[in-house]
Order: sequence, then structure tokens, then C-alpha cells
Amino acid sequence: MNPYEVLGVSENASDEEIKKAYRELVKKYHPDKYVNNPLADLAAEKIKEINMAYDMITKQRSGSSSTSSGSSYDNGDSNFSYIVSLINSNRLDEAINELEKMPASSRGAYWYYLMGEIAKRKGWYNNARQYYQTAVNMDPSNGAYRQAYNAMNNQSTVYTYQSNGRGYRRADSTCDCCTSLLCADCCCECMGGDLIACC
Amino acid sequence: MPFKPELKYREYDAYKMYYCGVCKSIGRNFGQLSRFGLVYEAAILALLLDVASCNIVNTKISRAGCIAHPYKKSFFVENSDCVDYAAAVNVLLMYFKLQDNWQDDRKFSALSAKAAIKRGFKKASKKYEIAADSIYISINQLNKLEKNNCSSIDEASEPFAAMMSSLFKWLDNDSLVNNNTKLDLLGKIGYNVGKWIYLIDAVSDFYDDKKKGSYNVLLKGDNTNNFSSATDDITFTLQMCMANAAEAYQELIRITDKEIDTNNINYINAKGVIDNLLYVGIRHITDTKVGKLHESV
Repeated sequence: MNPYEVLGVSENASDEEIKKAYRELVKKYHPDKYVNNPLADLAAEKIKEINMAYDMITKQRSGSSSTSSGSSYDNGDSNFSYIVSLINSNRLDEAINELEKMPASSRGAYWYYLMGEIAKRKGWYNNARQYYQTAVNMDPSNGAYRQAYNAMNNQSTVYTYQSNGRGYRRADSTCDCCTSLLCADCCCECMGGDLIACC
Repeated sequence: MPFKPELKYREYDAYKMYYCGVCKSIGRNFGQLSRFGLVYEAAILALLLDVASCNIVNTKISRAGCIAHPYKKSFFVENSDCVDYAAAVNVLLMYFKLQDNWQDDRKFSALSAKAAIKRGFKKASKKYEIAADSIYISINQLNKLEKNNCSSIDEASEPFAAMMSSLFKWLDNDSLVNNNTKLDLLGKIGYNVGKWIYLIDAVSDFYDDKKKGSYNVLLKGDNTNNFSSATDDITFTLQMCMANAAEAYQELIRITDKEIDTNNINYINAKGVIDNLLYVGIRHITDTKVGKLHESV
């Protein structure tokens, strides 16, 4: 494989040009664009190839010159997009492997968010909730993390609502009776009377 | 497991017909002795698979007496391969459960019961190899997790959930084998129901296990020290299981509604029973059992 061909640049291209070409390609094949798309697998393959090509070039060049600083962020980012594509095509075990390979120091809020997504898809709801919570705590300003956390609670609210609609009643109806009596008592006291003498 | 007070008479009859159908099928295929120990889940599995495979409109209903009630003739479902499958699954599960009981407690009753249904078990595991394998694998994993004193709710419930998922994904059925969408949904229902069953057992056996010193995920790791957070976690997971099972079921029904005549009374009744189970029955059990756990904290 010729890495320059994959990125569509000449071998004499500058580091900047390569980075630009790489970024554009990643954007083009980003898995977010292929959610529920039959081409998702293909795009994931492509992303993998692009990442490999970019890694090869940066490795080659950093051997000869040390000007390719700042590529670590891009590396991390592209790695995530590959993992996202794995998650979208339901290859969850591979996605976990990739995530766990990342050093603990580089695990930011996004890392926990993705772990949460995987856990939720697997049906590990408790783990998912904990991961989402960590992501929210690390980056409270990110709406997506908070939304993912709330979506789980919403799901059970919807269920409860549908269940109530089918005639479900909690067994503690006697309690309801007590509360309404107390309420009535409070109302009476407000008006100057008293329903239950002792309180 | 359905919540009876909210069932219509005709729905209850439909459910009972499946229960009796599964019981008869066990007797016919795996020997009369295997019939003692029928679990209600098997009837629900038969009903759900009959709906998913659209076989529900073709079920034939017969009437006969049975060993337990020789003088009272009752209706039961005949000629449904889903009922036969559920019957086999029931025999397989029972055998493995008895084996487990024998290994754990060395109760003679478990050993003799196991010997009594051994022939039925052999026949069932030969006919439904995938089902027998998945039960065997998950029981081994379960034992391993228990030995390692697993304290994670998700990890501990995984083998049982995965087993139920593969039992619900019934591949031997002609009309299901090529329908990946339906199989995935059945698998999802199975996973969530399985997880729910495992965890609700952990909740209801909590005090017994504590007394006897048996394994229970709520008694391991930090869960006893942080008991209120552990019960909160387990309640949350139970709720998510119910919500996800119900969601997958709704999606399945959306597909079968296009394939089955929605005025067919068998179909209407079956939907009524499963709907009741997923929305009212299991929630009722959850609230009662979790409530008891909270009460005594």
C-alpha cells in the first residue's frame, strides 16, 4: 500500500498539506455520517486505511525530521472515529478492545461516553449509567453526555407511563388514603378548622 | 407471571391453553415424569414464538383431561412446533437446575428427580442441540462468576441473560430462521427478560442467601457496605430491563401486525397476555420484591 496514494497527495507534499488531506478524508468518511447506512462497514474500512496511511507517513517523516509535532491530537481523534464506526456496526467487543488499549492518561470525557454507549448496547445498563455519569462530571458543558445520561431515565419514565396506562396501580393505595387525609387536615387547619385533632 | 387481575377472561384462557399445551407436549415427547416442574415462562415462550413466527393463526385447540386434573377436561394447544420447543427448553432447564441443586446442596430429592427425567433430557438435548449447548455454557460461566465472588450486577447477570437471549432466538423454525430482524428482537426480549429474572431472584433470595451464606451478588464486594446504592443500582437495572424488553416487543408487534390478520382472535389474545406480562406483570413483581428489600434495610 502506498500511503501517499491513499491520502491522494504527492510524495513531495508538505506536512501541512498531508494533514489537510487527511483531515478532509476523515471528515468525508466519518462514521457519524453513516449511521444506519448500509455503507457503514465500507466507510469504517476506509477510515482504517486512511489512519494507517497517515500513521505510516508521519512515522517515516518523524524519522528524518522532527517537525511533525501536534499530530498526537489527530491520531487520538482519528482513532476515536474508527471506534465509533465499530460501535455503529455493532462490533462491540472490538470497540472495547480498542478503547482499553488507550493509555489511562488519554481517557477523557469522550472515552467514558463511548464506553457508556457500548455498555448500553450490550444491555449493561448499570455500567452504562456509571460511564455516562463520569463523562458528565468530567465535562459538564457537553450536552450530548448529559442527554445520553438522561435518555436512560427517560426510557424508564416512558415505560412507567405506558404501564400506568394499562391499569397498573401501586400496591400502596392505603398510603394514598393517608396522604389525602393529611392533606385534607392541612386544608382544614388553614381555614381555621381541624379534621384530625392530634396533628 | 402475567398479572391476573388485569387479564381478560379470554386472555387468561388463551394463556392457560398454552400452559396445558406445553405440559402435554412434555408428557408426549419426554415422558410423563418430566411433567412435574413446569415453569410458567415456558408457556410465555411458546406464546411469544407462536406470535413471532405467525403460527398463532394456525393453532389447533383440543380438549382432554390430564394427570393432574383427570376429571376436568381442559383446552390445550396442539400441533404447534413452538409449543414443542418450549416444552423441550423447559425439560432442559429443569434438568440442569436439578443437577445444580444436587451439586450445591446434596439433596437426595434433587438426585432422584434428575434420574427420573434423564431420558427426557437426553431426547431434548439431541433434538435441540443449540439450546442445550447455550444452557450448558451459561451454567458453567455462572458457576465461575460465583466462585470468583463477582460483585458487578451487570457481569453476574450476563450468562443467564445471554442464555435466555439464545433460547428466544429460535433458529430451527422455518419462518424465523431467515428473518434476522425478528430474531434480533426476540434475542433482545430474551436478554432483557433473562437479566430481569436473574436479578429479581437475587432480590427475592437475598435474606435466604444471607442466612445460608450462599452466593448473591448483593452480598458481594462493596454491595453490603453500600447497600442503599446497591439496591438503587439493581432497581435501575430492573427498570431498564423491563423498558427495553417492552420496547423490543413493540417493535416485533409492529412487524407481525403487517403479516397477521389483526382481527384474528388468537392473535389478539396472545398480544393481550404478553402485553400484560411485560407492562404490568413484571412491574408488579419488581415493585413488590424491591419494596420488601427496602423495608427491612
